[in-house]
Amino acid sequence: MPNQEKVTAGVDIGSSTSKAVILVGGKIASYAIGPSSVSPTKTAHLVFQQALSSAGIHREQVTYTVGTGYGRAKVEFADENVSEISCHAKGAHHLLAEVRTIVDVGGQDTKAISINKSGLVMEFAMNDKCAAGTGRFLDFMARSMGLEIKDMVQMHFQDGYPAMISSMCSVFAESEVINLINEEVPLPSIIKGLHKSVANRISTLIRRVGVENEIVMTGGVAKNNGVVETLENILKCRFVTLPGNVDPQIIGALGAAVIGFEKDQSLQSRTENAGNNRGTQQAQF
Amino acid sequence: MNKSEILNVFQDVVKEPLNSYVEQWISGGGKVGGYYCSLIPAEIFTAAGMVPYRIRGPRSEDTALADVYLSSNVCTFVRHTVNIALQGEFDFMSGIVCMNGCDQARRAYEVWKQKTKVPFHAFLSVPRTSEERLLSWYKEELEKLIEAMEKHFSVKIRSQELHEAIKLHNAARANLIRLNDLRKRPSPPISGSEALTVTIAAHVMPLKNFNELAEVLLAALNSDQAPRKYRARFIVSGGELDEPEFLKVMEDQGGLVVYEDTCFGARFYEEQVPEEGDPLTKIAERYFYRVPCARMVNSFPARYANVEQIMTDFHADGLIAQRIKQCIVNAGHLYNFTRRGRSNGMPTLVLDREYLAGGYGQVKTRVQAFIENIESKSKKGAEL
Repeated sequence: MPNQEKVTAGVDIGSSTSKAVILVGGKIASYAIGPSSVSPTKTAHLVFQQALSSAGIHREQVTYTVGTGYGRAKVEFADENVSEISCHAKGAHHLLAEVRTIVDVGGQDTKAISINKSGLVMEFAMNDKCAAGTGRFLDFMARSMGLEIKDMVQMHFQDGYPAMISSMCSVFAESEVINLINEEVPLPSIIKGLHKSVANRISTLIRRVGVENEIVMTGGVAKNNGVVETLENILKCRFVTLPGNVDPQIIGALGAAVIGFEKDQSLQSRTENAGNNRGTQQAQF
Repeated sequence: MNKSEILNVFQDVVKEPLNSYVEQWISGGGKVGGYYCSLIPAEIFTAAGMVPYRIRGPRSEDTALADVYLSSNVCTFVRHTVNIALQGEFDFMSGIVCMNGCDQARRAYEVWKQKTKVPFHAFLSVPRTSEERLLSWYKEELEKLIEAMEKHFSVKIRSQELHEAIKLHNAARANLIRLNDLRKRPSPPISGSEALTVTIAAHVMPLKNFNELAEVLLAALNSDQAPRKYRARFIVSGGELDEPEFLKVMEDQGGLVVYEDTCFGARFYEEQVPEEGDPLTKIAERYFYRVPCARMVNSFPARYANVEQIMTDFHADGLIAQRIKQCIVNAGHLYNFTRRGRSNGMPTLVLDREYLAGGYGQVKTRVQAFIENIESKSKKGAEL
């Protein structure tokens, strides 16, 4: 079968949502996004099946699958698993060759990644075991105010100054929000303050690896224009937009599928050149 | 005993505060002396007829008791060890020696002294730079410690006792050096987590027993030529690190740890004490002048030069520099490791962690990404 028809898949099991991307001939054929559950194995099967159905492809047609995300080791049908840092770098570079800095803000993790022109990861920084500066932080806060995330995005663009909210701890920030509500501070101000708090935390990580253009934001929080705008103002830069309306939440799964595509190609060329193979090398110094 | 049986013995030794060898030693009337830092010469305890026991926090689950006395900016290593002491699980010790390794360890000393039943306490004030003019200060501190121990335990710590102690400790160090040398092989017969387990055991059990087991283990390892699969070889650097499971997390991602440039690692066994000359002077010189740790001022250039040499000798692909959060003395070295790695191209991963934290998900992601990065760079290099 020629490479153009090869089907590869990437499955990203995140802390809040899981994503699957199907590539046919290296191009996106379909994707699926669903909630993560207490069984990452089941979630992986489910989201993978959704993406396959959406592309009208049978599981047997997929020649190489890569798992990534927190549950990457639980994608039992994957040929291998790759860290989400490598996958986000690969996915972003695949879509935008000029990108040098990637910031991925997911449910539990925030990562800043710097890559070179070949897409090679030069440096990365991750948040510690703390929800501040992640999507989970915004979920907590939305719940405290009885709002949906989409309401928060909408209110961000209403008039008002950002309220002062600590960026140190989600639990303390929640009590600060309750305090502000009781002081009758308008919701748009509280929301702007929350977005500023998240953006401040994210900016620290980006500055650790260096702010080099072009910069792209991936992960679920990249869909929150309030956070995106605040972060751009803090960093005094503009993020590039993903081409073809690609959902920023699937970039990890996309990168995994692209890695699968490259592996599959390399395996095929190795098989074709089997006669010239030198065989398995022993580690030698 | 074969390799896995001996490793199981060492694993049992390190998993509880009180291990069976120490228990047996105490039931035979022996005494145990606890200490906190690799700048405290364990030979002095041996010369006093005691088993030296390096304080650590095996099996500790929380720090609730310690948190009554220690603030939250004290590192989790100190808090866990003090918690075990406050639970009474270190009451088998006859004494504890602390030093000014860092401010947090000083706070630990105060709690040990005032709130535990351990009867003997001593504190060493060690200079923060290894300049020749300060060696006499360090030696005087050791003399004061010896005097205090002689008085409290009614023993004599003379040149003869010190000389015997040096011989015993040199034999243990020689075994650990031989063990470490095996890790230079393309297929080392021992993993990093296993090797660290053995090294930790040497800190917390009678050295006579340790040497007997280590020699059998070394004989088994010497003839072990089985191939070992790994994706990248690492040196792990930093201060406190006595959790083999932390190295196992790295190794489960496909890495192989071939050297621990840490307090419980190579800093413990590298460099022997000469057996000729005045024993206390030789002990003082060995501990004072060896490759410095992060607490010593202006120590980074010598430390980094040593790390670069180890990278070559042990055929390492990358350096993982780690510290426990709130460890101020190691914070500067970690920053310098990052900076040097950027300028000279040495693959370097810096990890901040909590002691005995578990929940290693983020460590796994970082280490796996680090391995993938090393592999990608070597592929790109091969293509060029």
